[in-house]
Amino acid sequence: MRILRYMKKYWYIAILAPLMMLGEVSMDFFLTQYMQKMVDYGINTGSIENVTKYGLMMLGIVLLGVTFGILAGIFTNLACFKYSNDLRNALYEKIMQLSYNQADDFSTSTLITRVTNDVTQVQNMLSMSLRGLVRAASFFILGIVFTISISPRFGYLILIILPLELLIMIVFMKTMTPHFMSMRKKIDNLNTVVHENVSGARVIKAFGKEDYEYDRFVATNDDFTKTLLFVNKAMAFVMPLMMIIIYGASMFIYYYGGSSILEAFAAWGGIGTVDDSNMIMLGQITAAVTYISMICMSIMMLGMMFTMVINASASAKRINAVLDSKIEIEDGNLDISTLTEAGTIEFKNVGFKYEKASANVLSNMNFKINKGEMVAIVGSTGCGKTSLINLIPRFYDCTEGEVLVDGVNVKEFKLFELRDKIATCLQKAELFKGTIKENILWGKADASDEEIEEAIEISQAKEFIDTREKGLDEWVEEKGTSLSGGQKQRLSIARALIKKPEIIIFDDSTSALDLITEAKLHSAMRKFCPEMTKIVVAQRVATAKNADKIIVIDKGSIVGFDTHENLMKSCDIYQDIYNSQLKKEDVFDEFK
Amino acid sequence: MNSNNKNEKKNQQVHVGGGPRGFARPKEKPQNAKATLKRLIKYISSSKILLITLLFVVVFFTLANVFTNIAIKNVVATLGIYNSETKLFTIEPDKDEFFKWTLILCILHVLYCVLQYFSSLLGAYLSVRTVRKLRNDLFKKIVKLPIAYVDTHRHGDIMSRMTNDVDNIANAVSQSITSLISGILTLLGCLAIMIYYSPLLTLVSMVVLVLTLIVTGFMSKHMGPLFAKQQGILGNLNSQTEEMVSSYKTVIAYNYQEKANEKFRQASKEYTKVGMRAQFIGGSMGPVMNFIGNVGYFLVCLMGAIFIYYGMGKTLLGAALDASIVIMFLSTTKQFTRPITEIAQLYSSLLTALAGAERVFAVLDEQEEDFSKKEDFDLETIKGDIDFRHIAFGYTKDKQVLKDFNVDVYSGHKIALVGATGSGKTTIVNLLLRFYDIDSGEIYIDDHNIFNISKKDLRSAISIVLQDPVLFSDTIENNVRYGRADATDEEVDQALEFANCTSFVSKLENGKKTMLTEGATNISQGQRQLLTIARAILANPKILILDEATSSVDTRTEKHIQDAMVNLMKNRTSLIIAHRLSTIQDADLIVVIDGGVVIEMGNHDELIAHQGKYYSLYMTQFAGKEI
Repeated sequence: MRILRYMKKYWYIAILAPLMMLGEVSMDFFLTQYMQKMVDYGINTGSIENVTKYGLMMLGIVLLGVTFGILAGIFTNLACFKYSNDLRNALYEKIMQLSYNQADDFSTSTLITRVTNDVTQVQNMLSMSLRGLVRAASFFILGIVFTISISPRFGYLILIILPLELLIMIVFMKTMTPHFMSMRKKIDNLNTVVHENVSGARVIKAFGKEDYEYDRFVATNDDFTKTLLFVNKAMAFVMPLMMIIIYGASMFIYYYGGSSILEAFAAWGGIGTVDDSNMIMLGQITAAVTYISMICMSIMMLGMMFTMVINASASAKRINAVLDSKIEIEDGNLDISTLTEAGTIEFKNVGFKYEKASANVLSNMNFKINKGEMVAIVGSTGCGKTSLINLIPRFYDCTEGEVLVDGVNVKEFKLFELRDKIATCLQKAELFKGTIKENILWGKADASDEEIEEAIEISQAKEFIDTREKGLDEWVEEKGTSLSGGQKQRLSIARALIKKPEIIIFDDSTSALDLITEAKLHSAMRKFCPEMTKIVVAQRVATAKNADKIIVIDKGSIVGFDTHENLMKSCDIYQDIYNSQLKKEDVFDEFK
Repeated sequence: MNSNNKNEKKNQQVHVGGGPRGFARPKEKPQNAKATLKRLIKYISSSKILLITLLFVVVFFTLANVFTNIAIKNVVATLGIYNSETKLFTIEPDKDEFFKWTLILCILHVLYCVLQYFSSLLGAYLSVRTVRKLRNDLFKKIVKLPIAYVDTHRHGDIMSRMTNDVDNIANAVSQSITSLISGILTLLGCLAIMIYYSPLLTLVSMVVLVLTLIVTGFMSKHMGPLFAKQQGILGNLNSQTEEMVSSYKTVIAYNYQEKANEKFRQASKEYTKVGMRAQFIGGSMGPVMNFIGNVGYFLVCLMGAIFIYYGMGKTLLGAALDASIVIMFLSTTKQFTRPITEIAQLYSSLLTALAGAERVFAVLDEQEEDFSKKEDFDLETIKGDIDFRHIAFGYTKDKQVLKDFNVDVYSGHKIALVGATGSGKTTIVNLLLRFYDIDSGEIYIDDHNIFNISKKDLRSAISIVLQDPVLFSDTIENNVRYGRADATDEEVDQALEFANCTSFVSKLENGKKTMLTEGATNISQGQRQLLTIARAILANPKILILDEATSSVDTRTEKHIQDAMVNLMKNRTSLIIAHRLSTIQDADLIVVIDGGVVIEMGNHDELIAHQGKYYSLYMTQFAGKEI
């Protein structure tokens, strides 16, 4: 349980909590013990002094008990909340340091659940352990001690019923766990069908398959219902089973204790005093029954706790996996004031392979891009375009050769300074909850209004922002759902431009723009940002055509690096791409 | 949480076509609890015999529990009273009575356990059955809801009705009913025997009842808002995490990590503060309730002893109070306060369930799509002429998407719709398939007004291939067969062949029997699209709609798909919506839409010659000409 290392700071609270809990539970036992004394030495002897004495004791015990209880609660919460706060922060910070590679490995959605769900799970588990587990364990141990203190012979009783209860508990958990798992899976199946039906509603309706889908759902639902019923039936069975053992034990105590009284009575025969050396008195019988049921309840509590701990330990494992991951992309030591070039990019024999892939995505890449140039990268999907540009801001590190920015290997830069030079626009423009202005200011927090104006003008976002009621102060919903794809892309371009980076990279980030807007964007960029080095990954030849140079990639290798005119003459694959978009009829002719 | 995220993510890929979306989820309190409860009970009572048997069993097992107290009292009483000081029996034990009552106690215990088993069992059956029926009904409804509903409601919301809400109802049905009835009976039963054995001591026990009521009231009043606040801040923290982590790439690219960390630390600190405050009260609940129980225990014990000493607190029959009665009171006092705390908890879970039920019923009350017809529509004989006449339509009243849309399509022709995003291209598809109904104007297929024919017939004449290929988690074969369930194996193979699927399908381990995962993530985007084309080919419709069918694949892959499309479009009326003009150059008719009206129409050459909007679009796209 290395996950507990963040508890170190709060160890004194973490120790106090279970101590208080132990105190609270002991008070419960003492209370029962004094009840027994009250009955046996107060009520049945008719001694009012004893009654008052024990009464006062009981009052003290009750008050002490509640004090312990509340303190236990406070200490537990204090420890758990402070701990989980530290854990959550550490986890989040770590996530922010992960490389793309690691983030892909974990996948963002599981990273999110690790922060949101798993931390809460661990916190709950901890508070449960500090309170519930300690509580159950105290009941268990104190119960045994107090029962035996009444009569050592009850110890034998405990010896019989405890293993029995534990056995039932263990057998139940063992047999049910796989069913719980399969139930979870069947719920997922159910959700899948519903989800497919909601998101694929158009297709289902267009094919008129409503009834077919209903049948499919009923079959899935029945499958789930069957398991659910089985699990419920098993639960319905096991609880009374455990209860009957507790009752059996208490019946034994009544019988055994009662017999001891009857025997003493028979032996007495009405002459002299009763020999009560072997007699278990009324109060004791009642107290023993209470103790035994406390012990058995504690076993059930432990059982429930156990499932929780198992769940939480899965969460703890997931959290640890993130916390333990090594930082893959580390800072270099470069002093950027020593740089002699600016805005250049050079690839020298660069090769790149994803960690778990068997083959290189990119191999033997060689090219140099000069300051202020616009270079387009074209090639079919999956050919490695995005992989290539990801190497420049070190989202990934190349596995062979070296990538140079401003004439220096990117690995020598401090990450912050390297990425400060570069602005990347992704195809899926990611925006954040806030105003349009706030989103743009992501690029440069202290930008002036004029700079914002300029950025939205170049990015062609001005036109639609102006139609908005609140203009720049218009609210953007989470992930920009209130905007269209094209609007999101234009805002993300504005966000990149305002940074005034040396290098700007468009990773197919104009795919949702119509052609005219895209053309306007590029001509504005040429006009207003001549000093910026521009790398444009493009689907459309029309976009690429006007670049200073075009890199043509096929299956991870550069097959052409030249101007449009030259490539049309020299590069088959470029011609192929060009033709597939432009002269369709000709292509078909070729195919025939 | 996990699956929720997944759904959220998927929702954004869903093809909506520009309708309004998003209704806030109602607050966690039923609007009309009474009516909803009535309706829910109706649902439950569909298994009447089960319900009545359950009620009987609950009554009996509660009675067994109540009588157990009397039996214990008598077991203890028959042991007489022994004075440990004088070492003499004040009252002598009665052997025969002792064994008699021990036996009765034994029987009651067994009876209680058996009855409890049956009550849980019946409860399980009842809840599982109710919920199964509810889920099936709900799904049946969802499948038949009009597209407008699906477009305007968050998918996660619809999903959560099926999962969370129905689960809450299940819990309420299986637990609340039995707990409520047995709780009330226990309360009354315990009270009755307590009063019978000692009205005076009962008054002492009442102190506990009063204390419990006060504390429960206080807690629920003060804890509710605090917990709500805690939940709110947690939600805030979670959504912040979700936003930043899912946009992780942008955060990294903009060196935003430190700022994100700072924001997160703030939110986490705030949550910790509020959480600790809420849990301070919440965490005290247990000890305080325990305290009240102990106070009762102490008071009964002490007052019982005092009453006995002074000969007070006689039973209703005038017998003296004794130790056995005090011992009985110790357990009955506990038993009769327990239902009160339980009912308080039940109440809140019942409210949650009712709020869920209300949402579920709200869906069940939605208008279904109308499949009735005024005219017969013979799929065999139709030709596939489509005539759009003066169509006007808006998703909302204040915003018209189409204003006066007029196009006449001849059977067997290929027509292409071109226009900017939001110009209404997809809307036309929505209207033709009657996913939405037009505000004014008419659409004819051959000489049938599509409003007079059944939607079912209409849709079986049309197949669509969408930009985001929709496939189901089933085998490839079944997915292809989706459009025509009775197709033979040969026909399926042929469709796969026509759609250029054969080569990749045969490379899969189980060929066409390969199971697709949810979202068909085990094949590539291009392959998914080819499968939807195969599906459309097999369905063999008279009219075909391709809505941006190739826009999410690159042009070289598109070429591959294009060949399949050419096969698909042979001998059918085809309606093509495309971003890339390369897809549509050979269309018989190209319709350029802007601002909801047709601004240009004609074939490629005519429109190029016309040098209008189409010409400029074409030039920027293909020639890369600057504007």
